Amino acid sequence: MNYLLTDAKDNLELRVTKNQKHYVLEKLLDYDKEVTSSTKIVIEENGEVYYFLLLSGGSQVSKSIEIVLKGDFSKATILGVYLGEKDQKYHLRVVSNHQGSDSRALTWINGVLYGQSSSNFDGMVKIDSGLHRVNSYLANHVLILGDEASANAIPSLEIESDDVKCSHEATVGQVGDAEMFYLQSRGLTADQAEKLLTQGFFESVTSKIENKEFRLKVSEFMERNSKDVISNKITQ
Amino acid sequence: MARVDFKIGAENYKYGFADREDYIYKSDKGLSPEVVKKISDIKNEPPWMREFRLAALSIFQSKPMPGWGADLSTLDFNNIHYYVKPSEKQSGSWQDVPVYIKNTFDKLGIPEAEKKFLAGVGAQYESEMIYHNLAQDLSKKGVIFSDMDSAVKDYPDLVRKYFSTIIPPSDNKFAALNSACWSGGSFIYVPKGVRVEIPLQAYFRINTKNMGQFERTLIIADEGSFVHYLEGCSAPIYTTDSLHSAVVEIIVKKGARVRYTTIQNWSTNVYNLVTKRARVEEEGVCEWVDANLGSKVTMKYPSVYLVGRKAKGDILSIAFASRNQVQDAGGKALHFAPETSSSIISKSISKNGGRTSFRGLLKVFPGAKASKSMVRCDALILDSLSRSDTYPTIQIDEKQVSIGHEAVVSKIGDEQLFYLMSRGLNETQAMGMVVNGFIEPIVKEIPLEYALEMNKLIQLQMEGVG
Repeated sequence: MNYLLTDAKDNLELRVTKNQKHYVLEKLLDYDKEVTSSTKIVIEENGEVYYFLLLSGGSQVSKSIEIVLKGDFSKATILGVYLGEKDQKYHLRVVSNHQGSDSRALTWINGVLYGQSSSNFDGMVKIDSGLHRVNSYLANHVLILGDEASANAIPSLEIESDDVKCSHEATVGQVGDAEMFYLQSRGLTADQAEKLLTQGFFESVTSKIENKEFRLKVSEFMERNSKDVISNKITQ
Repeated sequence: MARVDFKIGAENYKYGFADREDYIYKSDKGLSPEVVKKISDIKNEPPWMREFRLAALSIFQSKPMPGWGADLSTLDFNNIHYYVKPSEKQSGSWQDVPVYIKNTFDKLGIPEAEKKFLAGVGAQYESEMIYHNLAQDLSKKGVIFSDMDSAVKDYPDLVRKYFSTIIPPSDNKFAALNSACWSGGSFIYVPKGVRVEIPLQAYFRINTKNMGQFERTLIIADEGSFVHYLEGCSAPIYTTDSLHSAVVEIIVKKGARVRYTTIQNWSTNVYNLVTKRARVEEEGVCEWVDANLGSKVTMKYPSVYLVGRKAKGDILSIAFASRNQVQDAGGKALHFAPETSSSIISKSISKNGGRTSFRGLLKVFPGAKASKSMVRCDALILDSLSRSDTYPTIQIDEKQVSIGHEAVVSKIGDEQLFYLMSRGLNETQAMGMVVNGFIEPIVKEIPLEYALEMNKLIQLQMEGVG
């Protein structure tokens, strides 16, 4: 498995050559300074990339991720979770640019915001002209759990070919009343129920990784870091 | 499958007839304090309005052009007549309307429409309302439906109290332009508890080369009242570019409901740059139904400012862009108060190299607890030359909210076309049927005769004989 583990503080440039398959895990966990970095991945014919961003550190993070689906039949799965607390500020820009026919991209980023943290999600699906059978999906879901947390999202589309299937969705809200009620009626406290739902919210992203080995690696980091962070935040 | 050659262009424009120009006063091209003063003089306005216009002019001159959205670089502000006055006085009945103007309206079908169910028609031909008629029972209830120019003189207190309170001249460059040289438009006041069951409507047209049309509409729905206002636009073809820049302000008081329906079918050389906004108070409802078919460039984002508890705003938008057209449309919902709700539904279709853009804003301010909003944009691209964009902005500063946004861009499914064609339709008919089905959820909100007209216009666009 072409597996790459990098620190999201650093810039990353990656070229996925013909018929290659790459797995990238970018993380920023325990860190309390400002971060500005960018990631660019270019995928050539029939290449495929699985990218996962795990973000819970940094005081103010500005992260740009650009995926260029250059070759025909190129494929990208861009996943990410972020967890903000106190006055952390996240600015994420995620662009999937389709330049090859039959290219497919799935972008799915979930965030949870505690305290006064805030997130800015700037998503863009760009499909160049003259392409065929392009499929692209972009999603950003945010749970606001802090009283003063705030979320902005601009999931944009620029489509210049007609033979496409392209969609996006974004939601901002709290954990569902019905779910909270269900769990509490089974004996969980409100905090435990919220924690469980938040974990499930993150796992809905990791479960999109088809490769078991990579999914385990991502989960490992989530177990080791995020869950502690979540439980600490809740018990605070 | 053979590609159908869609022939649609200026030469086929259905309402592209032009009457000879016959005017009492026509301002020189370009905009200056003298032109603004002249407009004010001709209209015999009170000093406050004259001052308002001149202040707005300097705001217009100091503001930059918007740095986003459609390309406006070919718009030349110095090449436009800012005011044209067509005939001497307003007519009270249809018989008194000049024949050549009647001919124009006949081709648009206004009298028939009126016969069917219209209570009052304010038809704006060029810059003034030339025909005005409101059913007597509405007058008795205290409903005011007049043109804006008359309202400044006849209802000075009401106008002065509300005019420009929702959209000040400093709001944007085109609101400032409109504030400086506005002419015509409708003024509606519905008193407390009065329900106007029949839609009020006005038809707007542009008819002089290079004439900007800057109508100004103000609607005040007092507590618990209801009114539905309908505007349809249709302009003849000219070779040089025209500018249409309207301002529409709506005030929805406690428990009132206002529906504002627009069918915009300007000819394909018109810049349509419009600012529309409603302020909705407690338990009030404002609904914008906005269909954009024509024009060269449209930039229009009807807005709802939900300022009272449980206020509600709905925006339904249809955009159809064909060759050389840019439809940059959408909607904005701003939640200032608790338990407010909004929905924005947009359907756009691009074809023959046309470009549709959905541009939206959804903002929830701190304290707007338990607010809900749903934004949905669907786009169809009918050929490989066309383009569709989606730029929704979502800003949430409140925890207790439920916000959703969805957008889908696709072409017409092969299986849908195959199904219809296997039933004996040709490809154009099949595509037209799919497109009509696509916009149906919005069209059904439009009164019947307009809905029929919409479907016909779409079919004509698809067949390329419109």
